Amino acid sequence: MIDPGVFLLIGAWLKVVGILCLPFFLVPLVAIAVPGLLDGLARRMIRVLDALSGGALNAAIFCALLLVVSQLAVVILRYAFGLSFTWLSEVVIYAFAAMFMLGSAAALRDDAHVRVDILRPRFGETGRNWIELVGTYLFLFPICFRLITTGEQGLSRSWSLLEGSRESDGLPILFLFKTLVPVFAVLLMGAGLSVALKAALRLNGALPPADTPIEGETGDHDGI
Amino acid sequence: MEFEIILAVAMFACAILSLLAGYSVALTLGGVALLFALIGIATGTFSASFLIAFPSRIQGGSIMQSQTLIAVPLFVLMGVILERSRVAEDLLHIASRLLARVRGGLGYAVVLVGALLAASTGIVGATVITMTLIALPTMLRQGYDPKLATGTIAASGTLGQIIPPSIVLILLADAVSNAASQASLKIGAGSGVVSVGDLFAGALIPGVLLVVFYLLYIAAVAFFRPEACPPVAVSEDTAPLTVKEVAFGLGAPLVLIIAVLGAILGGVAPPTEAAAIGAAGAVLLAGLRLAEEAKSRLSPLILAGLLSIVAILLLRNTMDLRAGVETISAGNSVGIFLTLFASLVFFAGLAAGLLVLRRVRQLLPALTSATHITSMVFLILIGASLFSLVFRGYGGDEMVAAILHQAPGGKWGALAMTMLVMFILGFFLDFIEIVFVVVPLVAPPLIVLGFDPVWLAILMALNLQTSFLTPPFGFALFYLRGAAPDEINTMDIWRGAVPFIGLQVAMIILVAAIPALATWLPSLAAN
Repeated sequence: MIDPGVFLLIGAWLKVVGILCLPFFLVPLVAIAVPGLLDGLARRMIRVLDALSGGALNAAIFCALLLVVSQLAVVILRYAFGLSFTWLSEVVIYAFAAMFMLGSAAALRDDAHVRVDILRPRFGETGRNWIELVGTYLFLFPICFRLITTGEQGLSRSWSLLEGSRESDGLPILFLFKTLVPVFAVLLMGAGLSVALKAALRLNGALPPADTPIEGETGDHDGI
Repeated sequence: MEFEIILAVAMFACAILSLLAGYSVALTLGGVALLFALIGIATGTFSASFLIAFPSRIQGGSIMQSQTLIAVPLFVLMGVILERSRVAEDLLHIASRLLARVRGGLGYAVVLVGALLAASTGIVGATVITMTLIALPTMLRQGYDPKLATGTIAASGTLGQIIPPSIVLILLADAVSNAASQASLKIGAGSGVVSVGDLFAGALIPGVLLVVFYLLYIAAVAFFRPEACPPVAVSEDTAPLTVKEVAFGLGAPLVLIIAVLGAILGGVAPPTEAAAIGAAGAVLLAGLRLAEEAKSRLSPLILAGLLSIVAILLLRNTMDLRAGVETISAGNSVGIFLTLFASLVFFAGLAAGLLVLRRVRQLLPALTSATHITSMVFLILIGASLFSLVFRGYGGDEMVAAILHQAPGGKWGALAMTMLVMFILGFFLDFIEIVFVVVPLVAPPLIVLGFDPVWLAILMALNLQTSFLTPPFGFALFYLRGAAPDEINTMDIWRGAVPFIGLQVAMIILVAAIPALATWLPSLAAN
């Protein structure tokens, strides 16, 4: 059994790393204020951050498959054999939660979150980029920051106990489940930073304008 | 007025104004709430302890550990796979071919398919877009009146929200159930339990009646203005539909949807489990449908997977398969063995279906799309729960309750007021946001006033569905406009929606006047 103190130490270091990363959140603002100064860095950051969201998306997709398979197993075991296992039900719940907690960042990257688009087309390209920037700094970052800081205490207690399921035949990884919340917040901040960087680069002309707002998903369809 | 109440009202107004800017709805709701909470903490009007509860709210039974909402990603997956594998498209294709010779036949086909595809829709107007792209050009080519064609498509697209198993009904059931238990705590009576099954059962009769209304309207148009919806001239060289095509293209999805719905309404399986079966069924159907295209020889295995479901059902209902009992007779242990084998075949068929989907490069897009939609729904839930947390912290919920209790015209006045507000909010907020933000505020006082929770939920669903059809802001019309060819006049789209709005309003009045339409089936299911 590993001493929980190790995890708390890792946690403390992660916090330091997080604080050291804070200057990166200024890059979009600098990119607007001084066009051309940090464009190279900004592009590299976008690539890294988008790859991070992509990695999380892959994990989320795996969880989606796991959700279907484990839920089917629960159904068959209960319906046919009259059996139920707490650990299997917990796999279902964990896969379900991980699917959207890990998938949200990529949904932000791919612009899959709902917007109110009554006035949006009228704001013009510049207006939309500014809204994206302001929204990210005013709404997204504070929410995620708040989530990370508020959850710190509860999370370190959970890790120091290596908290498991309340049931005896449950999964012993409740602490990992609870860690999904800060992971979600960090991923979302990363995706938000990438969105802000793109908006900033578009505003100073280093990136071509985005397509006009998409109206829903249009696949390739043939006529009848 | 007290300072807190002013802040609560300002927060609501601020949220609506910020939403119009077009930034992500979920983050706008949460962000505005957080800013107002910080203002409140700074001015000493808001207790910081409310915010501390936020991470545990996310982890808790209302979001990350919600048993009810597990059904959402599963139904989304089912819908996305049916759409990606073109099973949905085949459905529209075959239905319109079958009904083509009838006057108004294409219209009937669109309404029926819109109703059947309920499972795959109800979120982003995907049905409206799909049907606009597939059916609208054909309808126009055959000389349909553009007003009738667009109205039918927009209205049928919104059917997906009211006809079970719709995703928004699951979300609504969750919200109304919370509201009902709060209300029963307050008045100290009533069980306060509203399940997804109750809401599905309650929505069934109004939903089917709406379909009938739509069909009757098209029939009336076909009778009085035959030139508006001519029969389709099928060219001589088009091969007639084979029985196999009809059975597979029309029958299979129908059986899937009826099986899923029947299992829930019949109390055989809770919605979550039925949704898992639905998703698996969709994968198997998609695998069969695409096996030829993928040049895959896995179709026998997929077929065996489908048959194994039947085998499990048969074995389960003829033998005692419980593995937990003390003594297991020889016959039963054979049964258990056979069932285990059938389950293995089932999972193998599922894997084969996934492989076929992968071969035609649809697996990853389908899973990505399902993950995106699910993340979108739950991010809104997270943002909205922060919003309600703060709104509650300012006493906003008590203010709403007080307003509703003092509404002119008693409880009916309160109901009318709520419905009007929701109708207007429906112009710029999606169903999901309204369910997560507004329903938790208005439903508890209304239930305390004596309205039945299921009936209330059905009225709200019908009301929002109407709102989405109403020009100039209706969502369905926006999606239709986006996908329709440019030669279609926007005014025509708006005018085409009007008769269907009339039908909707008639339905709302009918359900309001005869509550049994919504409450009779759930009460049957309860016994």
